[in-house]
Amino acid sequence: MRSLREFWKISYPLYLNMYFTGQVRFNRNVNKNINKIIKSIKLNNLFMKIIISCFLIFGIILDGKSIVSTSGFFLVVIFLFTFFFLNTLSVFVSDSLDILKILPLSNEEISLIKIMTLFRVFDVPLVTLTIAYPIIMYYYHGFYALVPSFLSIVSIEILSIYISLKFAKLFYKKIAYSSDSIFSTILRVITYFIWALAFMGLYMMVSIFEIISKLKINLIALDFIFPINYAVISSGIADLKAVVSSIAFFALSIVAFKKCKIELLKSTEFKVQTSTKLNIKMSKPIIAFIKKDFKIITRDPGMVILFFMPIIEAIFLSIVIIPKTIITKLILILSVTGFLPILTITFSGIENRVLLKILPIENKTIRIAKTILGCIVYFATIPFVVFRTILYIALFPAVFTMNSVCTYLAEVMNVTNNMQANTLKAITIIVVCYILLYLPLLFGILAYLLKIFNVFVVVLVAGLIESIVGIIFIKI
Amino acid sequence: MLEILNLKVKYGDFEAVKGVSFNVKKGEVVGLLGPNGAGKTSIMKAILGLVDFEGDIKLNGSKIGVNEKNDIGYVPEEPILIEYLTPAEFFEFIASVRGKGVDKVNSLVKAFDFEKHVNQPIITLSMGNRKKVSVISAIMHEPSFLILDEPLNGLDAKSSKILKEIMKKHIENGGSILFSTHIMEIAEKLCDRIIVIDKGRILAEGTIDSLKELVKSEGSLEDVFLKLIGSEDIGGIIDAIS
Repeated sequence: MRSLREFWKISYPLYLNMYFTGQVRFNRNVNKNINKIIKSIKLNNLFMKIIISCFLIFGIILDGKSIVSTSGFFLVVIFLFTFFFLNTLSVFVSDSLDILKILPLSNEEISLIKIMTLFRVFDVPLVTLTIAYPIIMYYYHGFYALVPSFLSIVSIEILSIYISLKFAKLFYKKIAYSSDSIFSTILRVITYFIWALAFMGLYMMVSIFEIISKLKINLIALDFIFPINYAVISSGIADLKAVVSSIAFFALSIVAFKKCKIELLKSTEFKVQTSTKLNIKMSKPIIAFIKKDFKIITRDPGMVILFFMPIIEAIFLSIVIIPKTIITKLILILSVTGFLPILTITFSGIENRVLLKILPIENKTIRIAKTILGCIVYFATIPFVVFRTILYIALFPAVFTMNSVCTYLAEVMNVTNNMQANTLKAITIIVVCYILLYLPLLFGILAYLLKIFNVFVVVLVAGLIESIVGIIFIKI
Repeated sequence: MLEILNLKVKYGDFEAVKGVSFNVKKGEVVGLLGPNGAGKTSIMKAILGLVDFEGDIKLNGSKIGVNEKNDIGYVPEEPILIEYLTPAEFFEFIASVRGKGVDKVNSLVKAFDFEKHVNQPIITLSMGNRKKVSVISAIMHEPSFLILDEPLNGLDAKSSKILKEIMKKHIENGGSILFSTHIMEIAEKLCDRIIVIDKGRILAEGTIDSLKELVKSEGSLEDVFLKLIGSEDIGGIIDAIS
């Protein structure tokens, strides 16, 4: 058996390969400024890890005092790990790490290297959390909180990684590439919806914990339930139910850790059983692009969530928010449409520009397809929001313009294969997106303040005028 | 059919192709031979506009625009695919964008013994099967001009044989092929004309016989090629390895 140091070294190029594969997954045929892209990806990766770590420290400081908010914080940790690292984990369910099997390494050693590679994905946030959480809990709750909080956070981390890995496996093996029948496609879309709903549900649970925290409800009666049990023992309270339950969950996390090792060894079993039937139906190029994009999006866990987020938000917020004033109406509209610009740039980013250059296709066709796709997401939110505020419909021309202009900008600025390599350009486009999307609303607010015109009419007219720009950009 | 005049391709300060001119006539297979990094792939990429270039490239007298691309089938050395789709979905997408190709795809899938993979995600396919996806998608619309960059790399024996037969049929039907390979025997069998390229420049151009005459060699194309690129004496290298 070699030393751990050697395994750690071996895991580094594997981690880099895994991370880059995850980042350039939509366009492997990158032939421009590859060194710049690599440097930028490395830097942005580190930046993202630091941001998540800072967010976690901030979370502990904010939530560490009370049991309720600490429980909510644990859910945030699981949510963050699963959401941010799911795409990277796709490599663990493919055969990209099979290179290890041709090297003179035992299964035990391969498993160890894969665990180290997996650890590298989460390294900075994991280390930060493991160190910062016990220290801050010690500061808040005294000496008796130190060891329990350390054990709690380690257990939560292992469970989070295990859940992320299981999710990635489930997604790629069972959902993303199910068979090609219409029934399976419908089932897939429903599964995606539930998938996104589950994420939103987790987010909602965190919000519920926040509300409980504000209402000062005592959760001590529920202290045997995960993650409240960990929050109780982390606060230095020697509650018997919480301690017993925590020991059980800690044992579970040890099992999860062992299972992680087994799962990682089994990773090459990713072989999908599919039919041999070849059923090709030609469609118009614009439709072909929309269909292709939809398939790509619904096979990427991160993008599935993004794609369904506006719709889930529309459902959730239109139930929760009952807008009576123009302000609450605006809050509802802004909350539902907040994700649309990110979707617009994501749609552009998934295009393989090298492939497009080989095909007899005009850029205009692609822009139209992307604009339609962006508008489809907006249309899907209308039924839920419109009965709360009719003003939402007036935003359609602005949604069209935003999609058209920003797809054009993404095309000319070459924001294609990965956002991490184009962060500045992507941010610029997103800012333009928000300006175009909300400019008509700004006129609406002015009209409301000056009380000179009907807000709906002003937003609609401003949007229609703005859409001339959209039409120009789509036709260029 | 294809005319290339004074083609230059630069990657930053590095000039990969230094003013190359040649043509490919109707019904002709032209082989581009050269060592690694000679500029073969850059020339092929320039034809399709995948890299920035200087000079003139014309197909049937016209600059290569959107319409001309429907007359070209390109098999790159490294397959250009959409990894998240299945081959069936990829073929459907390509056929829809090109507006043709559906009729041919079934017979090609059968010919390449690819039925069992058509609904598997491309990302999970082996290199050989990815190459098959690339080849099928490049020829299913029956283009008149084929650009094949190391097309046989990664293909099994049966698929290689089938592709070679397809190439022969393509020529019989009046098509043209620009073809690059490192396997001299294949170039010798398939090509009507050879262009030897090294360090971005054409070293020699002509039929195999005329090249043999040029270097005064009676040997194989491999010997001619090694002589042309100045690497005929590899005895010292072999000795060093042994």
